[in-house]
Amino acid sequence: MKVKLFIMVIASISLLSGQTPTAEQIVDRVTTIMSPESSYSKGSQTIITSSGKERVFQFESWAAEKGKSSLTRYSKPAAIRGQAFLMLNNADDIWSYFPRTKRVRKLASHAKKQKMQGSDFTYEDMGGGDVFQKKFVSSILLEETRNEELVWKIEMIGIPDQEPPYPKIIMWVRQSDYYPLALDYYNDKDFNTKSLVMSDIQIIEDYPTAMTMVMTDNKERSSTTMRTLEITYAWQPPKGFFSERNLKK
Amino acid sequence: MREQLIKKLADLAVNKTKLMLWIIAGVTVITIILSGGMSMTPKWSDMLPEGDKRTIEFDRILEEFQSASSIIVVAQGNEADIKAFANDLAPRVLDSLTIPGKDTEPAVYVRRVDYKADLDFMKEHGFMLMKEDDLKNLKDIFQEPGLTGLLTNINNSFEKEFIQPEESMSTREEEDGALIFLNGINSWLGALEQTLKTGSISTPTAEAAVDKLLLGEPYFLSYDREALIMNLIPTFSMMDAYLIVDGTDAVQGVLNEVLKDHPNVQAGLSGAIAVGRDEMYYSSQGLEISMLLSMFAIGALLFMAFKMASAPVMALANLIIGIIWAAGIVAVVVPVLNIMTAMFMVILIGLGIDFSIHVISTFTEMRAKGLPLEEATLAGLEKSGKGVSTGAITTSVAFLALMIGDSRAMSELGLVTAIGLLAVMVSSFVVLPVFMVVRERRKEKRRAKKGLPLKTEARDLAFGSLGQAGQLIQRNPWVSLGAVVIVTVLLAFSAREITFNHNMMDLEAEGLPSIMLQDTVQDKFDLSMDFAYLVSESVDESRELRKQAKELPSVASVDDISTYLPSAEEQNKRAPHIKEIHALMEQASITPIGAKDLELILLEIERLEMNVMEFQSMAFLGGQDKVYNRCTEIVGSAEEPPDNTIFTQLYGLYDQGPSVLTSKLGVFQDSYADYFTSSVLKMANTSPLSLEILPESIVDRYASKDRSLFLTTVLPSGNIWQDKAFMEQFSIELEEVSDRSTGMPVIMRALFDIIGRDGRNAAMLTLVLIYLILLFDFRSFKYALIAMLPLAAGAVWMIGLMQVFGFQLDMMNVMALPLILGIGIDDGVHVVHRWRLEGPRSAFIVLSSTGKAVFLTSLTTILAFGSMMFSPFRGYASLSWALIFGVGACFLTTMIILPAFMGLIDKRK
Repeated sequence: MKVKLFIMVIASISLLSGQTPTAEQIVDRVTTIMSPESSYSKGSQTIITSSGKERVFQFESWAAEKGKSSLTRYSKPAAIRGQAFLMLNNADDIWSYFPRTKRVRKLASHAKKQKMQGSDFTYEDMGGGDVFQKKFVSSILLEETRNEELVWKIEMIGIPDQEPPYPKIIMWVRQSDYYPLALDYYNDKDFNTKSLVMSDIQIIEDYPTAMTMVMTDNKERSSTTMRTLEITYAWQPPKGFFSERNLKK
Repeated sequence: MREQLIKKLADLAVNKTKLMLWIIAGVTVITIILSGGMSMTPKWSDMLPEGDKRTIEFDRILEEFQSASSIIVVAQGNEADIKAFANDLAPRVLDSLTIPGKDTEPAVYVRRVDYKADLDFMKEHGFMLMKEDDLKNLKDIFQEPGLTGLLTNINNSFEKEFIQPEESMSTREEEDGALIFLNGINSWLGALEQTLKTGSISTPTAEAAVDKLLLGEPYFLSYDREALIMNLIPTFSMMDAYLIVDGTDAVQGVLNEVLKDHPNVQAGLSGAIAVGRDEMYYSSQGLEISMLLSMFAIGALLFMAFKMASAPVMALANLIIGIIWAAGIVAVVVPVLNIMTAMFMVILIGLGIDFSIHVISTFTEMRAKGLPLEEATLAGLEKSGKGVSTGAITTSVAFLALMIGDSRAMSELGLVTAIGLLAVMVSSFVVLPVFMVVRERRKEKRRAKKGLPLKTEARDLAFGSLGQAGQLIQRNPWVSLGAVVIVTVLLAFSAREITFNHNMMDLEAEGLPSIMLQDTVQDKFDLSMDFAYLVSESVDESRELRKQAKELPSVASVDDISTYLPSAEEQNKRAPHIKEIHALMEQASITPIGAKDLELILLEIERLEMNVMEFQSMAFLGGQDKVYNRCTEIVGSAEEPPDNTIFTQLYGLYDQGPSVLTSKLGVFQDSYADYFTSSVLKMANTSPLSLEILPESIVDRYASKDRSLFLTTVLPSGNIWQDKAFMEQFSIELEEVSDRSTGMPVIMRALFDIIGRDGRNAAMLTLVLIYLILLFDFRSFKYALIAMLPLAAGAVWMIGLMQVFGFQLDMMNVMALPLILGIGIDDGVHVVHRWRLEGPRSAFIVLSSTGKAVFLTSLTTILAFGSMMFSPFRGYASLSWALIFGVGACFLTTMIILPAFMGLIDKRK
């Protein structure tokens, strides 16, 4: 509710003043909307395997501290039932639990730049937090219409000293609620290597939430679809939830 | 002038028959000799413009690089069988070979066979070829050769492996790397299991297991290890058209012989040369069958239409002579035919027979009227000559208009067909009258012998039903024109919906072994044969190109000589790690296995199993099917408890008792440890790698014959045939990296663009030229336009009907569009000519007489092009259908539109 109020107030102020918010203001608001304090969700993830087959995973996911900490546990298919990933400190620390061997293994910090579970998302893409605010300099390229929605097209250039995950990101932000509809990720050769498209955006407990996210890797020519089947932002993490011990449960 | 020439030819046919026969025979013999110089090229690049840089570069690659023109043997069966087959076949293809079924001297067709990695070189420089990160990751393995230490270090390395970004298995190359690692472990565990089972192991088996662990699989095996590739480097290249067939056949002969000794193996030939051979062989064979079929069908049709046996014989004999003359001239002008121009003979059959039909038709008509031979010959030629020559010239000009195009596909086809048509037209005026005179004289002699009267009875050979239909349309012109307009508008809408099929594989022959094996290679090896090439003039340039190409979004992988020649900087970075490995291994000692080691070894084996299981889980989540499947072979799947994996077999051998187990583990350690140590020390060689020390088999793969040029092979990350936008992206991105990029994707993309542009330009020019010729011929804007109207409507109907019947446009049938302009115009020309000759209200006569000829010529054209449907090349069949629709549509529009205009104009008169 607070978020909704905040967005409405900001939008009203902008409207009354007749001024377009600055790129930094837009990115700040995007970060706020995209980083709810905590959440619990059930979802599915569809990938295309190296031999061209479609594979669908189902998982439960818990997040807290605006996405700084998260735990994902797979339930289907049987081959990886119970396998879980714990990400702390915006995916700087990642642990994985393997139910078949009953071992927990820590992945190295640079693993966050790797593809996450065969998807076209990296661990870092899912890490949340204030990456856009701290690691990029943003500017508004233009205002346009995308999928019949008025959007700002924002260019975010990575600040080299801050080790940004991508040298450049182009983001389309819906003007009505500051929700990003799409992001294009570029490499240092200025190739658009990946594209993320959000759709079926629903208001869940005052938060606009994309029920479907499709990440396309333009180099590997693959795409990953993440579907949210169930989500609540009212979940509160019990003490010690994001721990190695809980990972094994 | 035209009349005088016709008169002279008629005179010569009647009065100098023998001389004419001798001249015809002489010209035919000369042109047969000339046509012997004609050959065919199967390369699609030969359809691009002559000076096209992509073609020049592609030809240079074929000429300079042995690896670009290879014969690939694909063997399938179980691993042991296909390896044994390869070992048998390799030395035998290097011998002098004979071509099965041909009485020729044995010759050497294969220069070298690459079917195993050069292990000697790898054993000398293996570590220098590893990336620095890999060395960091794996160097732990090379610290201790003893069983306990080695197992522990493999596990340590394993656990470190999948957390390194370089080993994230996010690309095909990295997945391949993981498979090599897993295969090595599997093989080594297999050797261990054999020792625990039997208590002994042979030295070669132990050494092979070590080699696999350190160097990987030497054979080029598929991911499922049920297929094997051998690369045969021939003594000729794709540029040597004749040797492509002979050389491939000779190799196929040996392969068939060797297969007799390996009944469980299936094998065949593929690769550029084998595909080229099959394309040449089957397209020639297909066209030969098409020609025979069309001649037979046309002969039967003429027999039925003229109700005389000699008509088809004379018409076909004249056609054959005309085609021989055409082939002789073509062999001089365009000595090498490409895939498109190779069809010119079939086109000539379809179009050239029309001339004979018109000439025979009028000649027999005159004779039936009772004219004496000389007069009948002259009148026959005079009446048909104008229409035939105008038709032939109009069609030839239409074909010559194709020469406006840059592509050789279109310009050469235009030139060759125009020459051919004119040659057949000349033979129809020179040869056919002589044949008819000879036939009539023999007939007269026979009748004289029998005492029968010389005059033949008049026979009505006209098609009355066509005439009646024409009369009906002439009386109701607006109804007919209204119906044509409605159908044309509907089909125009349908035509707008037609799509273009860019998939060249849909044009290739179905069921050809070499093409099918390409699919096998794609499926089993995940290896596309549709790669692009970049050429560089130094290793450094090649390395830079590789680096740039790998960055491109459309590129899956890049292969070049720098894989075996890392830069000096890279070698310097690797050297310290290699020295460290060398130092560690030199210090390492092999201690005999004692009772205290047993528990640790068994724990490490269990740890290894867990590591593979976790690797498997990550591979499953990562969608890395090949790695997941290999892991499943080693540790079973999570869903079903493993009961017959290498680990369960090892665990089953633990009950032998500690002392026996310890002893056997000692035997295993003794069998491999020294070899492992010496191999690692040998591989830990920091001497710099240079071009001079690379083995020939590796250099030949990437360097030109004189070693001045280097070849980089770039594999696309998507299917270039199923996604035109991707093909364009791949080609454009590569052109940005190097303006000398070439290969199938680049060439085909250029071909699509050029042929599309050429087709449009040629069609426009053809329409203008046809109109000008008709204007000159009819001396009337109105009649020239009326003669063209059926063609315009017919072209729309053709595309519309193709769409209605589910056809797509493609690289081959798109040629039908300009072709139909040249072919379809003849119908209108003949009908308008006759209409003007016969005067008002003549629809019945025009359509029953000329309409019959137009019907027959349309039918013969359809039969000729229709015969191409039996060609194994689906591209020819596709063109065949398009022309059938086109010719059929033009006939119908001519038969409906022109009588309607006759009605409208005659009413005014």
